[in-house]
Amino acid sequence: MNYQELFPRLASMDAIIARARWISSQGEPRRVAVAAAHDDAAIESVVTAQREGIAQAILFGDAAKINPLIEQHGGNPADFKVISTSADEESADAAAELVGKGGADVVMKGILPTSKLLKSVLKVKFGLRRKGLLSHTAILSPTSYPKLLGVTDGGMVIKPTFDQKVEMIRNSVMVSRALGVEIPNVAVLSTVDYVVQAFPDTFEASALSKMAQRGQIPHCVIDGPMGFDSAIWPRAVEYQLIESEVAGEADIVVAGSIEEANVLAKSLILFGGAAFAGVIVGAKAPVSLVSRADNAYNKLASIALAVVVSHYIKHG
Amino acid sequence: MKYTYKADHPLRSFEEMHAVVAEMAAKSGPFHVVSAVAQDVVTLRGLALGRKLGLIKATLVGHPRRIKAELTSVGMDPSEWEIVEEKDQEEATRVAARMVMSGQADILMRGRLLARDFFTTLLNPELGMRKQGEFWTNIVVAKIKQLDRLVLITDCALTGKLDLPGRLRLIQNATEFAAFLGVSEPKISLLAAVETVTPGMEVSIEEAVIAKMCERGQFPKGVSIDGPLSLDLSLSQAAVAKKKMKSPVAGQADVLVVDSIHVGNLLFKSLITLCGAESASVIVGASIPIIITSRSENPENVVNSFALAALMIGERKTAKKVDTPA
Repeated sequence: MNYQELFPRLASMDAIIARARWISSQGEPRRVAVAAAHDDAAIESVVTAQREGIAQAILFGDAAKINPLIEQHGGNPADFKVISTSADEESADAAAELVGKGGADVVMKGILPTSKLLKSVLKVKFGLRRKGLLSHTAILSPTSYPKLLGVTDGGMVIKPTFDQKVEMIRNSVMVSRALGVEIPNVAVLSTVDYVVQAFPDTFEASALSKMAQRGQIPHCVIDGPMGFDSAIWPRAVEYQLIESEVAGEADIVVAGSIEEANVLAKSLILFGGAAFAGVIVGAKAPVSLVSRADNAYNKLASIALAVVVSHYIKHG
Repeated sequence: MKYTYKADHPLRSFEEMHAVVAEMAAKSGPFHVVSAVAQDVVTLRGLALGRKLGLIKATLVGHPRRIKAELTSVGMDPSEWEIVEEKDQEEATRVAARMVMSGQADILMRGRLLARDFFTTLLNPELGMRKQGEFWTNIVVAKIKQLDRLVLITDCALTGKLDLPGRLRLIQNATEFAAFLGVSEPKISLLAAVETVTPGMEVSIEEAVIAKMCERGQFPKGVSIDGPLSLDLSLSQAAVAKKKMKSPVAGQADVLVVDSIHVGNLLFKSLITLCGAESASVIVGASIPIIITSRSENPENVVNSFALAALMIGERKTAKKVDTPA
């Protein structure tokens, strides 16, 4: 049996959290290694994740600051392994090394620049580096869309090149497959549904679509260019917007820039009733990052997503 | 075009706008919309609803057989519509445009042709529609359920990549339009993925420059501009409180200025599809009101665009003869 048969499609954020809880209940609980863990948002997330039985945490950073933060969020410092490190780089290296050795499953960002953390994750000696690009996938659950929607890349890759879009799609497809979607529908977004000379992104979208048809990007159906309405709106076909396997049923949408993906994700969170979870993939283990601006549920969902992805990387 | 109407208080909903426009239509007759390349079901449904409400009357320029087929397909009687035959889409656009330029009709509407093709025809100097010095931009007016005001988003449909002077003109158009809708001291957010000036994100640097220009008084008095700001920090007071951000605009933006139409288009489509927002979309800076509806809009949103365009025309001095075909 393949992974998708064993683990059916997850249709809601609650289901992702439940899956993560189930994963952690099988044998050893999953472990999150947090770099520069003296960070309010990160501690809030791991305290909740531990209480909810989703993951345990190993915290690298300033112990004098970490313990009070744990208490502040209703946790008991004795339940956490805290390892004092003095500099950002030291704690990032330590977290990446631990995950590389198999001592933890997820690398998580605390209060340090993302770039510093990823630099450690990519150090060859820690064994987490793979050939491809690291990119960010957001999973959203808008109330008026019948399934989970992946959005890339609203968090890392600023203005992807064609090659980077290929890698971003591979990464998001992996996340989607971890959520039980065997062959995800990928929509490459543009302002229009047609190939238009003035918009070079429509050329790239066409080529990406062809690459999937030729099996160069496996395990997915890609179509584009298409407007966001065509990608997700079930009435797109009724309204004669477009004829496409993907239209109206996208599992993943690929935006042309960080601004586009970010504004899309935020509009759905603010006004579309969507819960949100984000994860960086492309290395041998997922990297989790939560923002101060995320609410408590979304922070928990992000850790749960990383746990589910790490399980898929090991068993999928 | 000069706006003769000016709201004396900020219009906060489309209901409010419709009430104002209904009064105008009651006094001087329905506004006359002419659709170019009208064989388009979204257009026709919108026009039908607008007529039913007494807000507009319509002329359909395009391919008669196809127009009639589309009308029949949605259960409407073709004999009730005024149809002008012009099968060529470029010529249909010119015919429709000239009707509005000559004062025969009030509002020009795009039908079933690409926005690019539509505007290429309209902007061709031979047509003489764009006067010297005019800078055309698109503004979407959105009513988002969670907010108690109308939010303007510019540009979601028309302009390509703008340089700094171009962005300043875009902001100027939006500022004037906000004043017309009763927001005389608009709070303008320059939208980005982040709220920090980030090397590598060109957008954030240019936005910081424009914000500084505003701090230095290089914009009209009363206008507040800040950026870069993410969407949540532009519109959500809760997000602003959480991040302890200090800004004259954050959390209360009336206008969202995006850096490219790709961002604007995506935001607009997200709002009207999965967020249930109401919207209207017009071109500003031209000498006549022009509407471009999006294919995924419902008839109510199309009618909102009619109302907004009608408001731009305002009170007409002489009552127009109402001659809707029987």
